[in-house]
Formats: sequence, C-alpha cells, structure tokens
Amino acid sequence: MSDCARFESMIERHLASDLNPQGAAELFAHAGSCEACRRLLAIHGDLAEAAATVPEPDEAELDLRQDRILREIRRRRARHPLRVAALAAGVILPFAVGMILGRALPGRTAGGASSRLMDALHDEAASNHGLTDVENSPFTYSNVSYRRLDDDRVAVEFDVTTHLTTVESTRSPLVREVLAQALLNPSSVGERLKAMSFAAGGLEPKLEKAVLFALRQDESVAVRLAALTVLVGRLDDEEVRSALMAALRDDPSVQVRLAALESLASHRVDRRQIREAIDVRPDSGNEALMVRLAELERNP
Amino acid sequence: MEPTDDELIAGIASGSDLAFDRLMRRYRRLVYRVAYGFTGDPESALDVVQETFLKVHTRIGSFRGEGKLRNWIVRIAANEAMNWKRSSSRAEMSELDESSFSRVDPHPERMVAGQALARSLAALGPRQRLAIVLRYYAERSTREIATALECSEGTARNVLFRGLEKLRTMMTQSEESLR
Repeated sequence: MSDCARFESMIERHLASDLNPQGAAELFAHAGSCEACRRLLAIHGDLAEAAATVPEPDEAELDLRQDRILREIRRRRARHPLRVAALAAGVILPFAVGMILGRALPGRTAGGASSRLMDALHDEAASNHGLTDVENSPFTYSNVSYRRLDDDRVAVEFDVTTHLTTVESTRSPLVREVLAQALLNPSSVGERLKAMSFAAGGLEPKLEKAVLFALRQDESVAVRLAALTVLVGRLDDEEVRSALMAALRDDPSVQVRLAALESLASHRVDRRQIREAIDVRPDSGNEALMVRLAELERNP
Repeated sequence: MEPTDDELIAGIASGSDLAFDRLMRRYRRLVYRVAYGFTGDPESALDVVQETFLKVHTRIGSFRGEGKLRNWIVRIAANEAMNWKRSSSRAEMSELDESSFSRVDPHPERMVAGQALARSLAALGPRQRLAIVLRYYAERSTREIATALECSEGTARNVLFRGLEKLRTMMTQSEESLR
C-alpha cells in the first residue's frame, strides 16, 4: 500500500472536519513530503477561503425577494384555489393531525387519508408532461423501491408525506413520475440504475427527457451507459440521435463513447459525421474509437 | 419567543403567509449560500433563493416531519441550483461562473487560481458538487451531507474526497495547459 493510500481515510476525515488533532498532525507531516496530498489539502483551504468570501446580500434585497415570493404565492392561490384546498385536505391536514397527536403517520397501502393522497399523486402525475412539470410537482418521492411483478406490473414503495406501497402498471403515470424524479435528483447510483432499468420498459416523452438528461449529465459512467442502452432503440428520434452524437464527441469516458459509436454505426448514421465527432477533440481514447469504427466498416 | 419549525409548518398548512414569511427569514441566508456555491453569482443565487422558497411552499405538504426541515430545504435549494443551468439562457450565464466566483482581486495570480477552481467545481458531477457545496458553503456536518446524498456518512466522506481529487486533477491539467 502506498503512503497516500494509507492516508486516504485520514484525508477523508480531515475534509469532513472529523479528524482528531493527533491524526491531523500525522497527516500534515506526511503532506510535507508528498506533493499530491499537499495539493489536495491546498484545494481544501482554497474552497474554505472561497466560501468565507461569499458576497452576502443585504437585508433589503432579501426582503424584496421575499415580498415577490409572497405575491406569487397569493397569485397562485387565487388562480388554483381548488388545488390548494385539495392539498390541504389530502396532504397537509394529515400531517398537522399527526403532529398534534405527537406521532408519525403510519405507512398504509389504502384507505382514508392515504387513499386520498394516492389519488392526488395519480392526478398530479397524469397532469405532468415535461421535465419542468416534474420539477414543479408538489410531491417529492424518496426512499423508493421497486419490485417487478408478473403481467407488466410493479410494486412501488416510497415516502411522500407518509410511507406508501402501491402496485401499478409499469406504464402508469405515477410510476413514470417516480422514475423521472429518480433520474433528475441526486439519488444513489443504485437507485438511478434501477430507475433506468424500469424506464427501459416504455419511454413516454417525459421519461425520455429524463433519460436524455442522465446521458448528458449523470456523473456515473454506469448510469450514462444504461441511459445509452435505453435510448438506442429510439435513434430515429432526432433529439436522441444528436444526444448520442454529443456523447460520442464529449463524454469523458471512452467506454461511453465506444457504446455511442456502436449504436450510431449500427443505425447507419453517416460515417463522415461520426469521424468528425471523434476527431473534434484530441483525446487518448480516439485511437480506440477509430480502430473500432474501421472494424465496423469492414464488418458492418 | 421564536416559533419552532413544527409550529411554522402547521401555520403554513393553515394558510398563514406570516408563518411562511418567518420560515423564509430563518433559512434565506443558508439557501443563498447553497445557491451561490452552485451558481457563483450573487444575482443568480438570489433567483435560486426565490425559486427554492416557491417550491418549499408548494411542497411543504410532502415534508414528512421526521428529518430536519433545514435539511429538506437545503436539498430543494441544491436541486433548484443544479437545475438552474438547464435552460439555455441560464446555461450561458453558467459558462461565466468562474468570472463571478472570483471578484476583482489585488493579487492577479490568486484571481487566476480562483477562476480555475470555480471552473473545475462547475465541471464536477452533481453528487460531488453537492457534497462540496454543503461542506464548504453551507457548512453542513458529515451527517447532514449524508442525509442530503441519501447515503452513509462513510460514503459521504468518500464522495467529498473523490470530488477534491477530481478538482486536483482538473486544476493540475489547467495549470499545465497554461505553461
């Protein structure tokens, strides 16, 4: 084990301010003779300094923003009085009652407030069409788990005000909503991969946008590869084709670029465009991509 | 006496704008710092503050009341700030992150380093960036970072460490390209 590897967990603790003074002294002694670790600690210091010099807004500016927010809330309330009332009855009221009783609401599958909540979730999911709608949804799903059942159904459990369990068709708008949120938010890699495997079952436009977002933005190579696999059957769609072309050109992982190349080449996308996409960025992975492209051209 | 978070939530649930006004007053500076950590620009950060609280008001019914309200609001702020770059007009602004992160500095070499840091920070993946913003800009504990990332404290520490490692690699490359 190299010295740096030995100090890795110490650095982790130091960055999180969880390292004891004795450990810190040992770490700094090591950093004195190790350029890489010294550099890491310097970046830690730079970040702390950058955060300490954030320009603070003045109270008047913050008050002005608050007034704007309250005006917008009143405007929305006037425009959607029924929706607000439904939320209060189905969601906010049970929470307030639970709080008054001094205990958390129990998880349920149906009946009473949960049934009304489930109706509200279905209505919201069915009315959301784009990614912005998903982002603006009044509901946030967390602690999600899925279990694929037979005959095209899925058992979904999640927290939203309370813990709920439901069995839905994999094509249900609610399932699609939960999946899209999992791909948009910084959930764990495992959750995003699981969501991706369900997304593969049938892409409606909102979910396709979420998968495209994951292909462009997700930090995990595994998730971007999964997104690519989900999208490969939809290469007739112009947006999907250009997203794959962008992945071939810009993705930091050669693995993802190779997968994009395979998909585009098998879809008979113009080879000249593919070559240009590979060439546009000088990268050590380009050679592997060109070799693979030549193979594909020899044995289409 | 100042109302507790639970009292404010109950007040908001019953339609009290005063309760929501107090809640915003309590958390607006924290939300601003999280937003600034992502956008690097005071005006954009204020816009994110505005969008965050609108979302908090819309979603307050889905707050379970088990974790801390502060963590829940921070999570919404982080999502809002990350999504801020999606629209094209905002994307153009985000390209300029580094210029606004490091304001005019009497030490030009420090300003260049600040720009490189901001540019590298903007290039990180969402989880690493979230961990760094929460640690440095919002001064959250490891436990709170772990809650926001929905992972264990050990994993949260590791995400933070990997984020800084990636920053080191990018900044080294940036320095080498300037030589």
